Order: sequence, then C-alpha cells, then structure tokens
Amino acid sequence: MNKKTIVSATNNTILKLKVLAKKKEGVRSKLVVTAKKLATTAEEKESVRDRLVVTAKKLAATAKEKESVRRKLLVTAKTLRLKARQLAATAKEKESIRGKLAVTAEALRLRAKQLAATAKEKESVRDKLAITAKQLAVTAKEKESVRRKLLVTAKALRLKAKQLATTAKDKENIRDKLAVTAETLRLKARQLAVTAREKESVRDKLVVTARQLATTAKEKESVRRKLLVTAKNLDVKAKQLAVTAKKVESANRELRSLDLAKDEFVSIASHQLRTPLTALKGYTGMLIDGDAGPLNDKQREYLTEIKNANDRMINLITALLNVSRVDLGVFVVEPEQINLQNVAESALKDLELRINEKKLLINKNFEKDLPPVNADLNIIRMVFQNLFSNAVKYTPPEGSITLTIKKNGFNILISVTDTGYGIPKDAQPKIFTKMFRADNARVKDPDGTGLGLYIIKETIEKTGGKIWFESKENKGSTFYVTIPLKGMKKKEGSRRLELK
Amino acid sequence: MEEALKQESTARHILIVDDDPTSRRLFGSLLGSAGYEVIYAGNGDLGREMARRFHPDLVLLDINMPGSDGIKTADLIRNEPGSPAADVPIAFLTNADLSLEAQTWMKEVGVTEYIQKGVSNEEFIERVKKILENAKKKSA
Repeated sequence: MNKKTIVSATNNTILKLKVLAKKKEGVRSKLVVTAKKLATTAEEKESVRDRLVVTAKKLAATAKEKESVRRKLLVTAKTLRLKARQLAATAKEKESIRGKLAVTAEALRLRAKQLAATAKEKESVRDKLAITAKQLAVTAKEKESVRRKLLVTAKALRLKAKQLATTAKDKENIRDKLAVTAETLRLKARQLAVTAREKESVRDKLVVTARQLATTAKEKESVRRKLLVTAKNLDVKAKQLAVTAKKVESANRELRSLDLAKDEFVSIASHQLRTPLTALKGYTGMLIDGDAGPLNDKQREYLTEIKNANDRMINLITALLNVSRVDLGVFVVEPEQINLQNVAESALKDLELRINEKKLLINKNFEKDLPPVNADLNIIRMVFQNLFSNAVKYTPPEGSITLTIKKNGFNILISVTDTGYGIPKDAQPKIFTKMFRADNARVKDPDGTGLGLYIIKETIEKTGGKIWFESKENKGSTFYVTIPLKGMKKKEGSRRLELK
Repeated sequence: MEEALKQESTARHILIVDDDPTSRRLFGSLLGSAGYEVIYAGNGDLGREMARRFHPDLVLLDINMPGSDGIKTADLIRNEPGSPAADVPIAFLTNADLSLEAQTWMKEVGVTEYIQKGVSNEEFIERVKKILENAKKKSA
C-alpha cells in the first residue's frame, strides 16, 4: 500500500466521517427537534391529563348533580302526575262548564237580538225626547219669566197679607164689639116689639072705632078726632125710633174707636207714666251719688226709700205692659239657638247677692249632651228670672234650690224645686192668674207685682210649651216648664216683651 | 290764652230735642255734671233750626213729639237737600216700649244710635260717650 491510497482512503473515510457527522448532526438536530416536540407533546399530554383530571372531577360533580336533579325530577314527576290527574278532573269540569256556557251563549245571543230591537225603539224614543226637550226648554223660559212676574206679585201679596193681618185683628175686635151691640139691638128689638104690640092694640082700637063709625056720625066725628090724635102719636113714635136708630149708630162708632183707642191707650199710658218715673230715677240717682252735695244719713235713708218705691213702680209698669202685649197678642217671638244652661246660670248670677245673704244651697242637674234649642231669648230669660226669684224669695235661710234641665220625650223639661214655704192648697188654682198673690207670699214679699207667673204662663203656652207646679205648704214647691225640642215658632208682632 | 281756647274747643256741645220739659231738664243736668255744654229745643222744627245754626257735636232726639216727631226731624236734618247739618251725629232717645215699626223707621232714616230713657244715670253718660267716640271715628 502506498501512501496515496492510504491518504485517499483516509480522505474517503474523512469524507464519509464528515458525511456521517453531517448526518449525525442532521439526525441530532432532528432528534433535538423531536426531543423538543416530545417535550412539548409531553407537556401537552400533561396539561391534557390535568384537564382530563379536572374534567373528570367536573364530570363527577356533574354526575352527582345529575343524580340529585334526577331525584328532584322524580319528585316533580310524581307531582306532575298528580297535577295531571287534577287537570284531567278540571278538564272534565271545564268541559261541563263549556257546555253550560254554550247554552248561556245561545241565550245571550237571543238577548242581544232583543236588545238590538229595544235599542232601535230607544233610539226613536230618544229622538222624540229630543224634540220634547226643546219644547220644554222653550216652556222653561216662559215659566221663568212667569215665575219672575209671580215673585214680584208674591212680594206685593206678602205686603198686602201683612196689612190684611192687622186689618183682620181690628175686624176681630170690631166683631166682638158688634156682638155686644147685637145684644143691645136685641133689647131694642124687644122694645120695638112692645111698641109694635102697642101699635097692635091701637089698631084694634081703630077696628072697634071703625065699627062705631058705622053707627053714629057724632061717634064718627069724635072717632075721626081720635084718629087724628093717634096718627100724631104714631108720628112721634116714628121720630123716636129714628132717634134711637141714630143712637145705636153712634154707639157703634164709639165702640169701634174705643177699641182702636184701647191699643193706643196702653202705649200712651206707659209713655206718660214712664217720663216722670224716669225723672224720679234720674234725680234721686244724682242726689244719692252726691252730685248735689254730700248727704247726711237720714237724707240718704229717705232718698233710698224713694228710689226703691220708684223702682217698684217701674217694675209694675213694665209688667203691666207685658201683660197688655200678651193679652193683645202683639208680642214678638224671635227664636234663635239658645244654650239653656247659660241663660239659667246668668239668671242665677243676678240673684247671687240674695242667695249668699240667705245662705241658700243651689243644686244644678244638667243632662249630658243637651241640644241647644230654638227659642226666644227674652221669654227664656223671663222664665228663669221669675222662677228663680220666686224660689229665692219664698225659701227660708239655709234652704236649697234645685235646677234640673233634661230631655223628656219631644220636649226639654226644666224644673225648679225649692224647700220653701210652699203654696197653700186653696191658693193653688189661682197661682197663674193676674195680680194673684197668695197670702203667705204677700207676707214674705210685699213688693212683687203678682203678674210674673201669668206672663210666663201665657208666653210659654202660646209658644208650644207647658207650665205647671207641685207644692206642699211648709215643704216646698217645684215648678215645671217644657219647651218643644223642635223649638218655638217665629211670631210677627209690633212689640217686644220687656225684661226688668 | 291758647290753652284756654283749646279747652273751649274741646268742650262737647249736645243739643237735646224733647217736648217734655222734665226730660230736658233731667238729661241736661246729667250731661252738665258730666262736663258737657247743653242746648235745648222744645220741638222738632226748632231742633232742626238749632242743629243747622250751632252744629252741635251730638243731637239727642226724642221720638214721641207732637208735630214734627223725632223720626221726621232726623229725616229732615239728614236728607234735606243742601242741609248744612247733614253730618251732625244724631241719636234717638227712646222708651223701652219702642215698637218694631219705629226701629225700622230709624234704620230707614239712617240713624243707628239710640239711648233708652229708662237706663241708670251712669249708663246714660256711658252711652253718650260711646256715641261721640263712634261719631269721631266715622269722621276721621
């Protein structure tokens, strides 16, 4: 072997080794790549395996949930089966109801047809009503104008009515007076009858005389003379009758004017009497007040006596005026809402001094929820003033007075009870009459007018109420007054009643 | 001097018109002792004349007078055309027996104030004071 071949062989081998190295390199690179790929694949497998584990766990959980859901579904299935059965039953009911509804639907269809017909009728009626409404509108306008005219006429009539009312009262009085005159006339008629009888007897005489005439001429002559005398007598009688007729005529006129004057008299008398009494009151007041200089005790005492006597006269005139207003029926009644308790309390307050002086015990019983009543304030005040002042006057010291106000049927009942001297039995029937004062009352209070009870009885009874009493001598008295719950009626008049 | 004049001008003059001399003297005395200056007239026509001439602060008119009664006099004082006393305050003196008719007439004539003759002396003076106050308020 030569070197060349060895070198070429070595070169070949180096070439082959290089090729091998290259191949190895290549393979190694491939292996590296492959290793990397494997590594990645391994990672991927790892992650996949993790994912699979997670998924497996999830599946396990899901499986458990599925199990519980399956159990729930089982329960729900049972419930649903029950529901299904109920629905089946309900379905049957619905079926029957549907059947009935079908019937009802039929009936309703019929009704609808009927209503359609009725609607048509209604339509035509509505048209007719429209026409009637227009006519009524016209009539309404006409009615309105007529109504206005009537209002005017009504006002005029009301005025006339008031005038007629007063005229009617006058006529009433005149009618009464004429009744009296009728009596007088009847008497006169009897007198005339007597005169007629006289005439009759005269006529008889004439008849006799006439017969006598038939016999003698002389008798005729004397008879003729007698006839002349009789004729003259008849003339005189006729004149007398004429005079009597005129007297009756003027008597009538006098009675009429007397009656009209009577109304005026009371007012004029009160005016004339009051003026000097007012002067008395004024001047004694000024003297007592010291306006004309200081007074000594005697002077003051005498002046007080005068003042008291004057006050009594004024009270009496006030009472007499009220009596005349009540008797003539001219007093007003002006009802307004009144709280009876308040009026009673105020009347008691006015008597406070006397009550305390006499140490009288006052009891008040007011029923709960008493309604206010429509009444004339003056009349109510007078009632309380009167009843309380009587109770205070006629009850001995340390006695008691009890006031009760309560509902009683259709009325309010007021009662005033005292533990006083009472009213003697023989005096009781006259208690409410004018000027009546029982003997025991006269002893206890010489100043009273005796008219108070008369006045309140008349006014209470004329306004729908009642008044009465119970009493026992030396035990006490109770006075009762009722006022209708529906109230007093308004009454027109020309005068108000006066309080003291 | 000015003070004295002022005093003079604040004195209130009151005209009493009443046909009854007793009433005139009585109310005149009352008002006099209360510090008023009082002038008198015995009938409605004279009263009207004096109201026109003297322009009193207040006219007290009795209602029941013969001839021109209180209502008529008040009507003439108030409503006569060109009457110089038309703004003089007027009050009626009435009895307690004042009829409802008279009350209506009072309103028609435009007089709203009245004093009852039967009231106590104190009340009479109080009423006069009140009426003068009201009249002042109206004219203010």
